[in-house]
Amino acid sequence: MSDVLSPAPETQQPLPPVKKPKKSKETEVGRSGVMTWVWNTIALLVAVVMAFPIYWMVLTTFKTNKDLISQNPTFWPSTFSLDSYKTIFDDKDFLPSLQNTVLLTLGAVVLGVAVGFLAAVAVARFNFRGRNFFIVTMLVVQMVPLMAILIPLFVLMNEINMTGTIVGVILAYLVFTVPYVIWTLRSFIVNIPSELDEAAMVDGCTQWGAFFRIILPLTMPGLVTTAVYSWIQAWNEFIVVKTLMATNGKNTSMTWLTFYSSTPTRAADYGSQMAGGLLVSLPVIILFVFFQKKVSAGLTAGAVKG
Amino acid sequence: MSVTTDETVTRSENQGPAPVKKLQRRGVFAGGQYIPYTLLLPAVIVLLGVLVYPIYRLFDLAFQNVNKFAYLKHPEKAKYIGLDGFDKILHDDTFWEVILRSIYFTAELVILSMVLSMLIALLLNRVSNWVRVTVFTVMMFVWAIPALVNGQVFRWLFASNGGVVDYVAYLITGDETWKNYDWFADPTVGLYVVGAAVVIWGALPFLVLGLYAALTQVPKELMEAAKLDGANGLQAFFHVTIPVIRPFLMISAALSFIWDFQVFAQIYALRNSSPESGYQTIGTYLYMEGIVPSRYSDASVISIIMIIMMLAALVFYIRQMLKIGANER
Amino acid sequence: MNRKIAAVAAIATVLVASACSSSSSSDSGSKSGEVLSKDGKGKKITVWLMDDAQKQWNDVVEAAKTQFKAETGADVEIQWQTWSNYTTKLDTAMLSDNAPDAIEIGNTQAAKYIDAESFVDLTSVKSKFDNSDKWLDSLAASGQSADHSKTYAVPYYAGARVMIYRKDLFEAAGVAQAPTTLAELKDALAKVKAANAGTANFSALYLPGKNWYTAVSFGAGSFGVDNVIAKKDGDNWSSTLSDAKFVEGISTWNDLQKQFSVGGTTADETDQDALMAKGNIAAIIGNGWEVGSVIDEKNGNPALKDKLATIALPGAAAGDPTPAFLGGSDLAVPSNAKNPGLGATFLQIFTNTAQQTALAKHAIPNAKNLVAAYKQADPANVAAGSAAEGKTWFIPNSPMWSGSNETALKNALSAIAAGGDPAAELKKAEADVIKGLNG
Repeated sequence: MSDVLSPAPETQQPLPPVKKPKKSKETEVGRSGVMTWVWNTIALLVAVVMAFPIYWMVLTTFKTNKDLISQNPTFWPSTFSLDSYKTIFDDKDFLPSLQNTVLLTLGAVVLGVAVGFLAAVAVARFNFRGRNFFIVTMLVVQMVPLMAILIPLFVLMNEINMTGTIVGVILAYLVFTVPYVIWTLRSFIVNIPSELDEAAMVDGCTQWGAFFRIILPLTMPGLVTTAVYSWIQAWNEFIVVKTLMATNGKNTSMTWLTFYSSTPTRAADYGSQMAGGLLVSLPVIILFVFFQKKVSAGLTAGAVKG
Repeated sequence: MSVTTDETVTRSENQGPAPVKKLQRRGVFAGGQYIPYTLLLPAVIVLLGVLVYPIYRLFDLAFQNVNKFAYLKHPEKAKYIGLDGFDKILHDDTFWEVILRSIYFTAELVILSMVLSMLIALLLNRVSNWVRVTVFTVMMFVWAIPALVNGQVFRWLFASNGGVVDYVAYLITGDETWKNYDWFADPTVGLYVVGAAVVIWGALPFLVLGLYAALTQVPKELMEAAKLDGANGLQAFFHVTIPVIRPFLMISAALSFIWDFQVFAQIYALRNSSPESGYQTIGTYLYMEGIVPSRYSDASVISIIMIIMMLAALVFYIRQMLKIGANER
Repeated sequence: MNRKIAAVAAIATVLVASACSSSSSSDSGSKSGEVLSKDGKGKKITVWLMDDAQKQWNDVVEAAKTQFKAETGADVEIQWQTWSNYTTKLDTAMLSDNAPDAIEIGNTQAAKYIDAESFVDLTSVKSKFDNSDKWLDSLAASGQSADHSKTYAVPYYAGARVMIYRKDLFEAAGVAQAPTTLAELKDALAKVKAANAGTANFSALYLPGKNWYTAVSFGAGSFGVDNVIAKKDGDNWSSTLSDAKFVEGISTWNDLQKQFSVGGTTADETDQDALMAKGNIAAIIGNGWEVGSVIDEKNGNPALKDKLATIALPGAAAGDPTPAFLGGSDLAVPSNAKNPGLGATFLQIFTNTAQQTALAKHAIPNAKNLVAAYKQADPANVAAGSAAEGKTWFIPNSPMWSGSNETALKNALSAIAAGGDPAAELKKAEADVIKGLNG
């Protein structure tokens, strides 16, 4: 586990300094066994407090209507019921909106990483006029809140007839994916010694051959990091998609969720609301379980906005 | 800064001549002046389209009186009013209330989340391995929940009819009135307690995991040396630990500022899609008072002020990042 | 500096002007010469309706779809909507080039889009709509231009809020007769409250703080229905919220709330049906159809089926109930729709006598001659029907009225519900509530 949390995004590190549970134990034991248990208890309390909202969310999804409308909340359902999930899957907007989310997330990630990667190679491997200006701009634009350009973004998409289309939203998401990808990948590529690709070329590779055999594989960890991070951003975004997609009545999972919980007849059906929330979070949770290390590395490496 | 950089430094030392001061084009694409520009072209086109042009339109709108739906629909009816729009917003008391509230709220969030995560990270350095694994696992799940869902879950936790927080308060105090305590009645409580709880809850995982990782980088020898010199725990913390993890502290504080200053999804969901004025910080204010009532020019002015405030607050951070970036090159 | 701004502005003006000249020409030239079109073979139109219809009168919608298909050959795709944040959605749709072909719109929202010429002018075909000469006055007015010379939106249905109460609880507390005046109501509620003192969190009358429709009804009860919230002198709106009469009505509402309502000071009315289903609420104020959601199989409590009754909200004197908000919906064809002619034809079919009579089982239909059918359909409908026919109030009729004015009002009311002084809070909110009305 401590390995998962190793902050180092690269693999070549000799003897990661993080792997030392044994060492720390020695010192703790040396200090005082009793104190360790005091700290353990406090830490477990923290874990309980942090986990409680999730526990409550999951628990709510399994409660029957009877438990939900009872006067006092119960900490364990009297019977388990899948009704809430059934309600969600019966909602005929749920799956189409999930499909839209997948499509536009995929589009935003692939396009964003591709475009960003090319530019990152340019700034990492070349000296050209305007390079520094470009790098500074990439950092600064990451701080422009998406909300601030919502209206003109809509006006623009409307002018080019892209409102209500998934492509329009994908293009809009490039606002936050591209600068982040460039800024983050740049540091990955800079760290690949250029002697390596020169050597490959000496060995008879063409420029593109060297690119595909050296730069691309060595940048892979960075590509995964940025892709995962962009994925999460695009998946969770809802204010832009709400504005741009509204015109044709299409939903994504996030807009579906706000729509769902603000419908009068369902406003008090917390069981289904929580089930819906959990289901739309699931893909992100799964992604996290696999790539948590890369996400944290990417965050600090790129210094991005939320 | 990030762990990545630390590592860069170590590695370049290991590998002799650092690839740091490359002046000429080298590597794969040596040769061909046009190549970098070709590679940049897609990104430049994209950013011109979806960022620069919208920002230009943002300023354009800010100098007009498009504060009515009909004017956006029929732009020929709108007028250019110069700086009157800015004048109006800057003389609006509500706007200044919102700015102040945003500053207070952001300060509360950044300070609380940094202090809490530091305490938890330090705590995690002292616990048994299995406890640490448990805490980390919980953190990962919390981290993965989308902000919108966070808000929704907390609305349910703090509901005044059947909310579990009220019930727990009742169980602890035995006071029946707690069962219907309305956490949202007073926006000050609703925002600075419940609102802050949602945001901090969601922000802790990243900060704790990052700080913990940063703390493991603090060389044991340094700490022991400090102890030998007679420093107590607190002194060692401030004179050894803090300087070592300072880069990470800076980045995470800046990131927290960026996230917290423009916070929207959590508050929006917490108040079930219609945050009241007492809950409005700049992000929600912009949406609820600018975009919902079709006051597009007012919204543009507010957006511009928001961008400027953000950049002004982060000038220091940007300079630091560029310094680090320059070292990397 | 100033010169620079001027230069930017000048360039921008040219750009914008050129951009509009092209767009406006395509806008105004209506795509098909006919306002009503039946040429729909192989086409599909999109219609936005509120999901209330899906829940309550889906059969009417289906019947209209079938008839429409038979007459024009076109299919209809209904996209269900909710009121929450509907205006932002409409804003974007009305601006874009792919607006739906027909939309439902709240009667409080119509003025803004009519002002922006976002709807197709239906004046020339108005007479071809069934009962168009007998449309409910105030609904018909909400779909007209400010001078009432042109018709842009067709009335769909109306709603008036009534009191929904638990007959069983009222009778058990010794209240045999439904209260007819506010004084009787207070007596009755006091009895119900006393009889259920043992029930936890019991509300004899649940009044959520943000239900501004109900609160303003009380205000209008003492102030009068004209010029409630704001009045217009010449071109200027001024607020009437701090008028002593209005404050008196709000205080009445607040007193009822303090005495008989538990929880929900900052909540709105959206979840009151589900809360009532929990069993510890004896009365709510809501639309007639909400009875259906209280006893809903899934989210409600079917056991309450025969225990609910409705009455018009009592007023100061018997026979003079507290004025209801005349809510309702209109239907319109966006001027940027792809198939405006077909959209208008769908509206014609959807609001014809047959469909409206079927709809009358659930909601107040759009024409006076059909209200009787509504009252007959269910004894529970009598109250709402009478409320709609009696004195009703409406929001200030301005294209600038928007969700944020309502929000300001809701905030003031929930501050009062949370313990604020009615006069002081209303005074404080005046500027915010009418903000923007004066442009």
